[in-house]
Amino acid sequence: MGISIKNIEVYFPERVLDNEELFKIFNDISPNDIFKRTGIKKRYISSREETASDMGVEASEALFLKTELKRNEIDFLIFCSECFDYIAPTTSCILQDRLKLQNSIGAIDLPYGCSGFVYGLGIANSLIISGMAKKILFITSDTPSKLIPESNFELRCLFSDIATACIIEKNKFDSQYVFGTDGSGYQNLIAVNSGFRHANKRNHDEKLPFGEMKMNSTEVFRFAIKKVPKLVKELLIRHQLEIEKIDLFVFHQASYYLLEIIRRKIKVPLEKFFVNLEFNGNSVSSSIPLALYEAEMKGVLKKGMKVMLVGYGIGFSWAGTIIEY
Amino acid sequence: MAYQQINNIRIDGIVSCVPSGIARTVDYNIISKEEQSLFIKTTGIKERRVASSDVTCSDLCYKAAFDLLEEFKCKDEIDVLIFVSQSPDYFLPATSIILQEKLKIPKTCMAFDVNLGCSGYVYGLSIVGSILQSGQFKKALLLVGDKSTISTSYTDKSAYPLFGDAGSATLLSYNENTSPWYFNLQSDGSGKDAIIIKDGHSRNPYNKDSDELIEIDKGIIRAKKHLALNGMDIFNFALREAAPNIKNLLEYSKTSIEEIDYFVFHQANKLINESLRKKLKINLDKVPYSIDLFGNTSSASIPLTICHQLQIELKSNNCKLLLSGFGVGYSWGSLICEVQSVYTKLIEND
Amino acid sequence: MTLEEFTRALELEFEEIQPGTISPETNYREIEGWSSMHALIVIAFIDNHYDIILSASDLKQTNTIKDLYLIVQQKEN
Repeated sequence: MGISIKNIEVYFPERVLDNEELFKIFNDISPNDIFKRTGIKKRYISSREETASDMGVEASEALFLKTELKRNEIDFLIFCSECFDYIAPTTSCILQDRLKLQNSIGAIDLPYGCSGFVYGLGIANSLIISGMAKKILFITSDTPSKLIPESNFELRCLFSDIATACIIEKNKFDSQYVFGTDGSGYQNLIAVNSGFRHANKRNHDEKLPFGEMKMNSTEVFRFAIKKVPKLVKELLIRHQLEIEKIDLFVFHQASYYLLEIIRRKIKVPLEKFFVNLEFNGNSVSSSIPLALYEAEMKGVLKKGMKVMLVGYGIGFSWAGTIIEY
Repeated sequence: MAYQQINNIRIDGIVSCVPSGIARTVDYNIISKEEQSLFIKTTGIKERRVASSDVTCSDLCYKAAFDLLEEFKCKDEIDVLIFVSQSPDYFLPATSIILQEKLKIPKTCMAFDVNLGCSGYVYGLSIVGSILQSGQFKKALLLVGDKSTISTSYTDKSAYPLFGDAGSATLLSYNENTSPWYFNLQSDGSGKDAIIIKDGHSRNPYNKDSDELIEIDKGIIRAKKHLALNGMDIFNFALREAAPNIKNLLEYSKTSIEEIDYFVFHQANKLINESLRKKLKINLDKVPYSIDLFGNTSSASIPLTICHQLQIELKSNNCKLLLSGFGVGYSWGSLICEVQSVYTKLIEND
Repeated sequence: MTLEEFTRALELEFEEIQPGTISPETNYREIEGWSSMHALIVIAFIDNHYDIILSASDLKQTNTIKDLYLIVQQKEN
């Protein structure tokens, strides 16, 4: 037994940051060169007042609007983000109220980055198999733009604020999950002075009230090309599947080059390896559900297909599974 | 409904860790001697433990986990590591990942944080239970705790003297010779303002007004960056929701009050917990307290109470426990579980 | 419970008070040493005896012990 992902809906903030604007701001490499380096033409930026949970509400409301699903059918809520409304209480509790879900639901926040969607799926899978939940509303939403200094060209080129919402339900296909964690890499992608570790240094920059995101892109890159191919191999072994049996590979959309190197290493043809960074950027935990959503719209992804999902990044952390869509 | 039955789970050990620094209610000079004794009488809190400025919740959990893993010599077997807290080291990355490295747990482990307060231990156990139940993963380490004292304002008598710091580690394993566990989990976000840190995250980013001390009421002076607690609302919520949640769980699991050996409640405040005890008609000797010495330690209060009060009982006997956590969110949940020869220990961080 | 019994029973909850010092007409907020803690004691007492949980706004409408008693009676019916 496993789970299926249904009714994915997406929310994009209004403001778009394109390569032309980045060129205007930084007067550095040309818009075309930005695209060549990153594979990205535009990203979405949440407004100052708009939080990740607001975006999550928009995506969820779209979901309820487009489906027959009743709010009282939801019996568990998972909210995956790294930008919560408050230090306390839990944002998922506030979302229970804002989305008018029942009081009898369980609700948790999952503070996670790029591997967050697969982690959330893994937890949802356990909750559903154990009988704890039947219909889980799973929201991913993040606002990385709020942690990036205006002057950081590299990070502004990459990251994007996007929310997704979907329903997780029981399915016959038996999905296995492979997880990996290596905290020795925690300083390679971090919001410095953000939490309780250096509480006295926290909050002192009004422009970056949540701390400043710092990334050692070389280390993140090295980690990803080392770990992801191993993870793919292990997933295939665990599922006793040949790589040819996988209909579509949907990986976290980190950057074009990284994805391309990974694709070549695992020897998957282009048409089976979905990439949709171009008009979205790296949307952290939303990248995989967003890719699934767009792949389905384009007709690349169809019900019943075997899809390999892989998330990797901040932590370091990596996670993968194979689902039947 | 978020009821759940989980099979094949065993608690092997629980270690709790508190800082050595003690803050006594009688030394809290914002309130008069009379107010101090009334406070001790109603909340039960005589003293609390306060972590020094360079110690975080993850340090307390680390110490507890280190001790536990030494005892069981099983750090290489940990498949799942969960850190439940509202005081993480960083907003990103997740603290559980940092702890994986510090504890030298294998890189093949699943590690994630859950952001919950008073209900965190019960929620954490339900997530661990769900993950282990399938048998794919064999051993899990559940770390829960908070450093709440850093978030309260000294001049806020409604919050400052209530909270203590603590961390805990619980080792769980897949085991087919155990009886089922039963959970009942609930949420109500309409109570979000009852316990809240208003400024400092995405909804109200930190700004120059966040530090400004404001007199809310007599004896209640705090800034927006501080933890604000509406005692009356929390009190009402706990009286209204905790007892039915427990009663429904007893009914769902076909368990009578008499069958439960110990009811370990979140240590919120003695008046709340005593009301709950009387409502459910439970004998006093079945309801252990640790609030007198540690205050409200958020998600760590249940494991801390177990380590402080039930060490001998859990080591030697087969005990049926009902654990119940309720508070910030609002979020609340209860669990009925049978435990047997559990290693427990309470340690101090120096 | 009659109003008199209610008053005496509540008085017992406030351990610092000499028995017989409060009456149904006493404005409870003016009892010496009254604090927000006492409000919680009142709520717990009423919940214990009547299974009724008064809210902050319920309490706001009351001044005297008698008011408390009446609001409880009203909620009981």
